[in-house]
Amino acid sequence: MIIAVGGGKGGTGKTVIAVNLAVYLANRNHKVALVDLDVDNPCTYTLLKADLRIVSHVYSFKPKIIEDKCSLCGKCVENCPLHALVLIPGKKLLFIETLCEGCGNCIIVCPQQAIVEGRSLLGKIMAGEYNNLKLVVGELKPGERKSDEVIDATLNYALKVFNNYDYIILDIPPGTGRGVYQAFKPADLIVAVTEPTMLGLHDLIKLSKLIYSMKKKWIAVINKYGLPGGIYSKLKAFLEDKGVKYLLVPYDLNLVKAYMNGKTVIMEYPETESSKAIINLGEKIEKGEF
Amino acid sequence: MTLELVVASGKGGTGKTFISSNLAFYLNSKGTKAIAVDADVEAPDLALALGGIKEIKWEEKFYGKIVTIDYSRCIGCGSCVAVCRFNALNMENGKPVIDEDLCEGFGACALVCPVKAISFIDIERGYIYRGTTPVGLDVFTGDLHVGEKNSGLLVYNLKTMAREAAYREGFDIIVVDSAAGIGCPVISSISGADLLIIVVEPSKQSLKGALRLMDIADQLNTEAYVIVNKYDLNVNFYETIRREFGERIIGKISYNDIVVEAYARMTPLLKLYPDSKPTLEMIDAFNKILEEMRIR
Amino acid sequence: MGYRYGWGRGRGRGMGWETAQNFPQLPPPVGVRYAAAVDTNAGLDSIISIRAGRAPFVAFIDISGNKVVNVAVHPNPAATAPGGAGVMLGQWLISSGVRVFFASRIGPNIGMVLNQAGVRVEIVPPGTRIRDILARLGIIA
Repeated sequence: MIIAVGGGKGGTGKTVIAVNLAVYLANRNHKVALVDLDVDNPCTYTLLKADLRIVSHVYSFKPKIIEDKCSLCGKCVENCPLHALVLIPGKKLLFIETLCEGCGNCIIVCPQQAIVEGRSLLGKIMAGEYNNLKLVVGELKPGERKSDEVIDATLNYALKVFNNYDYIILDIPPGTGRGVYQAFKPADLIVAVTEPTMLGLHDLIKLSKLIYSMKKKWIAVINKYGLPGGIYSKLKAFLEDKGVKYLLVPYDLNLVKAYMNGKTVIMEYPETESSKAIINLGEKIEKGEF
Repeated sequence: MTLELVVASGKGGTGKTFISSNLAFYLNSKGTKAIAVDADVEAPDLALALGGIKEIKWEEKFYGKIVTIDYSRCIGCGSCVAVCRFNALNMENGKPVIDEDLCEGFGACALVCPVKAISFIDIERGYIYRGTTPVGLDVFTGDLHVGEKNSGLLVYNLKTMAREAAYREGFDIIVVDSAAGIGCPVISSISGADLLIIVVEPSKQSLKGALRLMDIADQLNTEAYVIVNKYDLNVNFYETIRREFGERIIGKISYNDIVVEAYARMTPLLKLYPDSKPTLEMIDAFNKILEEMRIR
Repeated sequence: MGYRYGWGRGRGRGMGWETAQNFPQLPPPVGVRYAAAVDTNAGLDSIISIRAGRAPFVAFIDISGNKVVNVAVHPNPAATAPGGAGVMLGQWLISSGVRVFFASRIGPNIGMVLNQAGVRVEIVPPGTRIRDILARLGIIA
């Protein structure tokens, strides 16, 4: 079963829920892989004190110009939809890497075949273990823009290597764009982690639009439940109106403590309220309730 | 020229929207005319933090392109499928089918089609609008439709619109609330800004994100300062952050339930609880920003 | 080593995107060619736009021996480009033989491209008239 743990808004606790859920299931002797797709700033491994080793680099296609063959005809410039190529007439061809999205039109149209496939480094995929839990982490190289491509590469790697596993838990980045869409695609179940705040609800509503457009099954986890000053009735009303099952994870200082200390709450404080709630979520998943 | 200030953080949930909404509100209250820009286009919340949109003054759609196939001309040769680098074309029953969720509309397929069966159509990918809020601030919001990419371009268009309005109407400063992360939309948000404010919370995860962001600020030649939010949740780690960023830290704000309450009531904290500890701490940090602005 | 104006004959395959075919071809420069991103079409009294790549008009001024030989103000085809307008405009300037470009701001991409092509960029306040800039810089009397 592939479970995507997302949320729309950042900071709702996706990573905490994803990691703790994965640890619970692994402790129950299932074969579990946890995939960190928050490639801009991956944090899963900070809660697991796992050593990571690089298993693959992620490259982005970019065109490479062979200057000796280039006749400065400018056909590539004409056919670049993003204006990533500029011709200095009679002198040289300039390539602006930051504008290139890798469509390959230039390679197709060059009459001299002076443009070939090149590549640039986008990020890396790392792997590690925590007891019997397998961990895959994707990381974008700072300064690179194409987070989505690193997400894709990391996801494909994990699905290939662990395709016979019982559970693959995906830690999804914040947002509702293409990267989140790609990460949701293989999921059997989406767990949307939200918080009882106006901003949390607002972003959850937008995320639900994506989920419904993809016709995916989902449940909600209301994290930090009991947060003083939070909104409750509006949030519950939204979920109940949509017929979405939800679980509550209480606002728990022990959870915050465990997080700040780089530990999982279910191992560090197994009797605390938030641990019990996460274990409850794990049990329901094991029983196939969703 | 209008000064442009961006608030970002690397990690999500640290308080970017909290800081940027209160900052814009504060600057306005001090007579420094500010306009707010919500560049978190996948999950825009800034207007909400300022009381919600009262009236939309102006709206513009953001378009992209996709391709379309004239099947009466198509001979099913499959050249288009072979050349598409986005996996947006697949052969089904001998004819190519477009996956509109993946098509970017760049047209490599159109270039190789031997019978010219492929052409382009515009599709809506998002929108930009300017709205008024109950607290007297105008907000420019970018909203990307779900599942779309090219958030960076939408952010660029959004900032361009805001810059022009600021120039035409004599605003002193633009405050940009960026998305979480360090990818395309964030780089686009920081690009061209005069000052970056990095919001950190006292955790290893947040510090990691902030350092990655600092790296990008350096690459983009943008001056960066740090505000530590919810610093009292882990005072020891706050010290670690202080050692890491030193002089760049212009303020620290304590955690308080009233922040959540202010959000629930959709009012800037500065307005709702003007004498509270986090408010005074924010004002302290904001005054340093004002000083910095005067120098420029 | 002459300049080439425009490139590719014909419309290509009707790319849906704004491409170079849409740019007017200018005659070769007489003397030194200056260009400016402007908001208005008023010859030397055109005013500098707050935009660069998407400025509504671009003014081309040929100057020889301290005298203005020719002024041509064209609508800017890059103005409606969905993306990469700055670079598009940069390409037009380069292909048109421009040596100095006046704008109120430029992005890093167009900046790099113009730099590589040897086009000097002068940042000037928006709202200034071309005439005043040229006089201030001592280019015209």
